[in-house]
Amino acid sequence: MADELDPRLEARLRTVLRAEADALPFAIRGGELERRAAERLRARSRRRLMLLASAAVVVIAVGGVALLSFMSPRSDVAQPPSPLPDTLPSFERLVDAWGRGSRQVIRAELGASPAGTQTTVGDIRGFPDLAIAFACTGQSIELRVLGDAALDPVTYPCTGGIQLENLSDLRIANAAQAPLQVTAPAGVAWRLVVLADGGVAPSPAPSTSPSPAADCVPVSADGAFPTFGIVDSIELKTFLDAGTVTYRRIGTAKPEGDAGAWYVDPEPWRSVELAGPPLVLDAGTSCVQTWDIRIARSADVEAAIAAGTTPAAEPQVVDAPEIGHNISALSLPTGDLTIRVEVTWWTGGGPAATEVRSFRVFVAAPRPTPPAGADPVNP
Amino acid sequence: MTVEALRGRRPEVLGDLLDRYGREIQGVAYLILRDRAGAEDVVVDTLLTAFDRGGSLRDPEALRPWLLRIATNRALAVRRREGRVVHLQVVPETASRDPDQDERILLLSVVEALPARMRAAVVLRYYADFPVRDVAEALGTSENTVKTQLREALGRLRRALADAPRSEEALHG
Repeated sequence: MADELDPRLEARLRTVLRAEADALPFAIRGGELERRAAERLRARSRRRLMLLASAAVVVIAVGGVALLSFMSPRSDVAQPPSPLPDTLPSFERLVDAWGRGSRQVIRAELGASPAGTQTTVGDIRGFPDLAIAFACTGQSIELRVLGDAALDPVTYPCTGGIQLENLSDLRIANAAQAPLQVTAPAGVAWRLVVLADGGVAPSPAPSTSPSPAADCVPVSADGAFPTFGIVDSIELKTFLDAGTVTYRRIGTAKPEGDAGAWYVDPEPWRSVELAGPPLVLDAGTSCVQTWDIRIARSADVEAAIAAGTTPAAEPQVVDAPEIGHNISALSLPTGDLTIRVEVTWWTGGGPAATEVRSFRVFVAAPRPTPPAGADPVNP
Repeated sequence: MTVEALRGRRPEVLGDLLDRYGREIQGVAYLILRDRAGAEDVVVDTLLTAFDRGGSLRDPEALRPWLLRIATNRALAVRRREGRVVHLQVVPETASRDPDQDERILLLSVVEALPARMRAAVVLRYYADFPVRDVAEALGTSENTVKTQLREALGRLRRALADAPRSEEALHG
């Protein structure tokens, strides 16, 4: 019964949430909104014009081909799709377009066919956040999600480059079936990946067992992402949830978009003092396969970013993957540091996932230990 | 009026939507994201999405829940995509002597620590005052799941307050 609804607690929560939201200044102006709406409409018109132009080209081309085939000896053998042109971006590049850490739900490609193709692939039910990254050569392709999930067919002109379509708004979580249909006119070659971002899909995904070296504990509901935290002498505060009396503002750290590049938020940083065992990386409850922790001086990182190079970072030896890795056991110099952590973990029912984050801390020199018997409050 | 203007895709409807619902959308997004800039982006994105898709809206009563639903899903998508973003608040350097303030901070920190979808359920239920059924619809889940999430969230709040005796006394008088 302890977790039953409690009207008084609910009322207090209401008040607190409203006060918190109301305290936020509201700075958006109608003019800005209208400007962005106009930009969107202009972009759409441009896309439509491009489509019309390419359609006109195709009508002429198809007419010419039809005329030629009428004049040539006929063949009853269906033409197989031609090989994919080398110019199409690879699957890896398509995956990278959405960001590191994405999982591939569907991966498909098809060469150009003289008759055009309609292909149905995969099933995208049960994923909370989806995107299609695709590329095609030729005229255009049409994408739609079938079944009772709603996505009207959308036609995209082929640019040869990578295009992204965010499917986050699709209400497909409870759809009975949601395959993706790709319609390509004659002469169009395409390659696509459907990517799920974050979370573990409720529907079964191809399972990759953790390696024997993985350190496994039972998976909790929150176990999909590791949390990164600071331990002070009293309690653990995760970075994600910090915000109480223990810390001063230190700014915003964002996960890296690219594993090869260091990222430091441009927002000015202040410092945080870390007391006691300074830093704990808590992998939640999952099977951690690898940790890769690198520490560099923030000034070096910034200089490297400015120069477009990779900073010299000190790799930290991690003896064995473990839950709640304590960085204090590692070499952590004092000063303004950027810490990059890459962890690969596995949760039941899903494939292994990798998360990369960088964050910046100021590590103060250890506080002097008070003499034995001294009053810690009033020395 | 607003719904008609939306269906007619009249540009002035954007300003109207902003005036009427902008703050509330920002509140929902902020409480989910805890990031002011991100919340502002969600407001703009939500209203532009509504402008794009409002042609199918028939029921004026459905407008507010529809907008907040879009905002919630946008915010959750942002959080998933950029989500392991760290946002820390400015906080007093020493513990506050105001029990209400302490309790407020405590409640907010517990809400922030909730898993994203559970937090979204709490925000829609207790900030936007959605009935459970609408929360379930907005999050694409069942009413039972939402009830379970709310119970769990309140349980965590209660346990956190129990660890702070003064707050518990203030709450229960």
